[in-house]
Amino acid sequence: MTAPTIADELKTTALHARTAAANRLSRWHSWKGWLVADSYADAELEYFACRNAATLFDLSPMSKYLIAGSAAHDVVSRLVTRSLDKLVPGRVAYVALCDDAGQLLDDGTLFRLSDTSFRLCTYGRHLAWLADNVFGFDAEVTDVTTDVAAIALQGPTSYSVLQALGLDGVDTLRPYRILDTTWQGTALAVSRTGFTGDLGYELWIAPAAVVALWDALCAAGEPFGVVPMGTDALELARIEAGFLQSGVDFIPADHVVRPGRTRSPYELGLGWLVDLGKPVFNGRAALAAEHASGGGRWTLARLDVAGNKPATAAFVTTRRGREVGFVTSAAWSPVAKRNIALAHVERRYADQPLFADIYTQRELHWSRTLAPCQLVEGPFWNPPRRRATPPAPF
Amino acid sequence: MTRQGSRSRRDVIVVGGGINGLTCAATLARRGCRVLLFEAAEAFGGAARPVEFAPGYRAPLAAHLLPPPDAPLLRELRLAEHGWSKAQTPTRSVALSLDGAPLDLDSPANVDSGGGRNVVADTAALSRMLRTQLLAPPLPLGIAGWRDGWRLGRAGLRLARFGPARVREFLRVIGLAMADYVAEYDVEPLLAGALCADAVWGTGYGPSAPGTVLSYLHRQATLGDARHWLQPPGGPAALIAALVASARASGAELNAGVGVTRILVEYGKATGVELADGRVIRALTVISAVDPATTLLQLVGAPLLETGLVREARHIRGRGAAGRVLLALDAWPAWQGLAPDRPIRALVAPSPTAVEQAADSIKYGEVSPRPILEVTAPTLADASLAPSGQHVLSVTAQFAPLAADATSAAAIRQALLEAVLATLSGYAPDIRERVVAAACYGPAEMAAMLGSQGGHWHHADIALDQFFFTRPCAAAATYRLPVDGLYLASAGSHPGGGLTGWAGVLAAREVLAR
Repeated sequence: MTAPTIADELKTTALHARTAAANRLSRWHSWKGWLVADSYADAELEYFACRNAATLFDLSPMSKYLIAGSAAHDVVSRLVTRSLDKLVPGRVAYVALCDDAGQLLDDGTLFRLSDTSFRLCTYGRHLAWLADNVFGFDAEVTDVTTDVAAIALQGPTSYSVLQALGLDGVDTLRPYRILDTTWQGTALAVSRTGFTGDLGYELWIAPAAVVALWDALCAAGEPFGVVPMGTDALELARIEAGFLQSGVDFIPADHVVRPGRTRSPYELGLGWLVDLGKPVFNGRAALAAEHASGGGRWTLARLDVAGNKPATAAFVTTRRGREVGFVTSAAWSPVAKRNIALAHVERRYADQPLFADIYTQRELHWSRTLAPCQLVEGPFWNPPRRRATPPAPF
Repeated sequence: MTRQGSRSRRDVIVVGGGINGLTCAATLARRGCRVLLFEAAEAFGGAARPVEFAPGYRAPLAAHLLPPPDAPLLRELRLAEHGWSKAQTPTRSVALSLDGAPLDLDSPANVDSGGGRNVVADTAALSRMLRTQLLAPPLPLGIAGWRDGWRLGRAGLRLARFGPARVREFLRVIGLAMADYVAEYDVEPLLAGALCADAVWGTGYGPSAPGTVLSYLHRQATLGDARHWLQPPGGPAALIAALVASARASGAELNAGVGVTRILVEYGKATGVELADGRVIRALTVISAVDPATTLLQLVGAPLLETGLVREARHIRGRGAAGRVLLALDAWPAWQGLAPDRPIRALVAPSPTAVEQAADSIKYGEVSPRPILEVTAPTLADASLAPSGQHVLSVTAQFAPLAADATSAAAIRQALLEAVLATLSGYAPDIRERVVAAACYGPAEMAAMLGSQGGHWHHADIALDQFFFTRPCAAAATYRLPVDGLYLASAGSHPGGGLTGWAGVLAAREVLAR
């Protein structure tokens, strides 16, 4: 008997036979208890496939919760900070979940499946919180994480891959919409959503059918350069898109131990997700007070850092060297041709000239660079094809 | 009722006319607020209100003993001018014995355990320390600003002035089980049993449960230095009547028989109440002097609250296990050594083991076959409660489970009444012949009549996890809720119940401070 490995103790997804076979590096990590690939062969090639062709990503470990019942809308409306007025059935919304103190628990995507049912997809696990949220309402919450398998198909050729797969209706599918269809007799939902900031889709199907779907996407995608992508490549893509990663760019408020380490939506550039006009939602009172006082101590800065050394874990300083923040995510962006970073900066210093205090190691020796930063509005990468409907075929 | 034309006077609605609702309303009215109070029952007083349980026989519903009202409360609300008589006969407390004369619990000579240690004197000192905290406003959990820091500093100083040895002992015992604490003293089982019983009245725990020392000290602390209970003529309702008169004299409008069905909350602000008759009364300050869980989860309703508060409210622990048995007697029974000459409080709790075994039943959802009893005879204080020459016995009996449905509620009532009569027969052999009428209320009936979710008369257990910073829960610990203008003021808030009215007064001060 051999000692247990990490793989023995983690759960494997319905796609494990395929992802394991493709994982030539055998590099894995745990996504909330699920075994997922860091990269399959070469993270850079996977990244470039994502930006220039298309990639498949096993999205199955994403936490998925079904909130259903006659009061499901009211449950969800209190759960998330944004208005649901435009979230009619068949649409998806990016949402933020806060605790009573208005501090971020997680972000996620909210799928309105029908008038009375929603699916919430989040990186973290929130069943206990959701169970408390449905208390007193005519609604139920069910963890459907293992009932629904998902593949993210992302990249400029993704539309053509779905065409080649023979799906009807994808041409008119606009961003943040859901297409309910069938594929080989199995119900398949295609949503035009993703974590790469590019043209892309997420495909939701029963676990029993997901291997066949993966194989079919690989076959149909072969002329369009489809390859499997791991989390390393996705990480670079999502930083370019300006998306936040739970546990990296913020710590979920219910995991935080030390005071002052939680963040409100206003402090993470998510103020646009907060609708103080809603009569009740978690964090409303605290967020209204914070909004009235100017929006919290911190602000999320998207930085264009001089030079080409990623500002990983760098302090952000003023010209005089005062530490006023820190970088949470950083990378050299091949597609934006810029050295980019997401940073938490104290709001009152955010309009001053900022510098990243970057430490780099070459052959054991460390060097230090104080790199000037420019604030960037919006995502670093936001191509028109992300929104074009119908998308251009390849 | 709107704020128009009353800029200087604040409009306040108080929900619930128990003792805390009344002290709150009276305090606010005296300070110039326009107070409107609604009580669902036909009489004020909540747990202290009397019931006519059989034609011609009356007894207090739940609370048959009154701690001596606090002097500042009497002064502030001028209760003497409104019918409260300070001259009260102290209640004689005894522990009944199967083997002979009852043990007099008021006489220090009976309780000296030798070696210079005296359990009654020691607990009296500790309860005096606790009392200083009970009379002060609660401490918020977070230290936000100078006001909270000031309160925390003062709380520390209040204890510190008793000296390091006392503070050390206080901190040592506050989380202890009463049975363990009492075992440190070499006292006879009858006294130890009485001390253990006094640590668990109202709770669902036996004296081996950690934290029951706090429960004991809390109950003793309500008595103050007098350390005896009162049974005024008319029962505890006499104090209620004085409070009603005082509040009305200050301009408060008190309505009995008018239930509040909903507390209205819009955009995170209290806006008024809806009454059982459909009327909507608007006010920007609403104080709920009913059970906190009922207030939050039923009167406001979970959907209008933020989820963290709902989570806390759902987890308030308030499992009651006390039943009430009221007996109408055609004559004074043949108690050994218990003459009907002055108000009594007689305990049936022969030993710590007996108390623990009585509590064991509730773990299995059963009525204790040998319950512990606290017996008073209200007719000894007020002969008008029964026909001439006859008597009423008022018995608090533990432990009985909270019934799940009407059928089990009836079975619980029947079992409890039989257990009480069987137990009493051991001390007063002719009790069954004396009984001409009887009423029994189990925890389910108490829950319904007191409006508390678990039937607990403190609404929330007096326990370390629901004290000071966190009573009844952290988000509501300073009476003020995260809902603007909504306050709690019941026994479920600091410093707990026990017919002191302190929660109502302290809540009123918090309202006035805003």
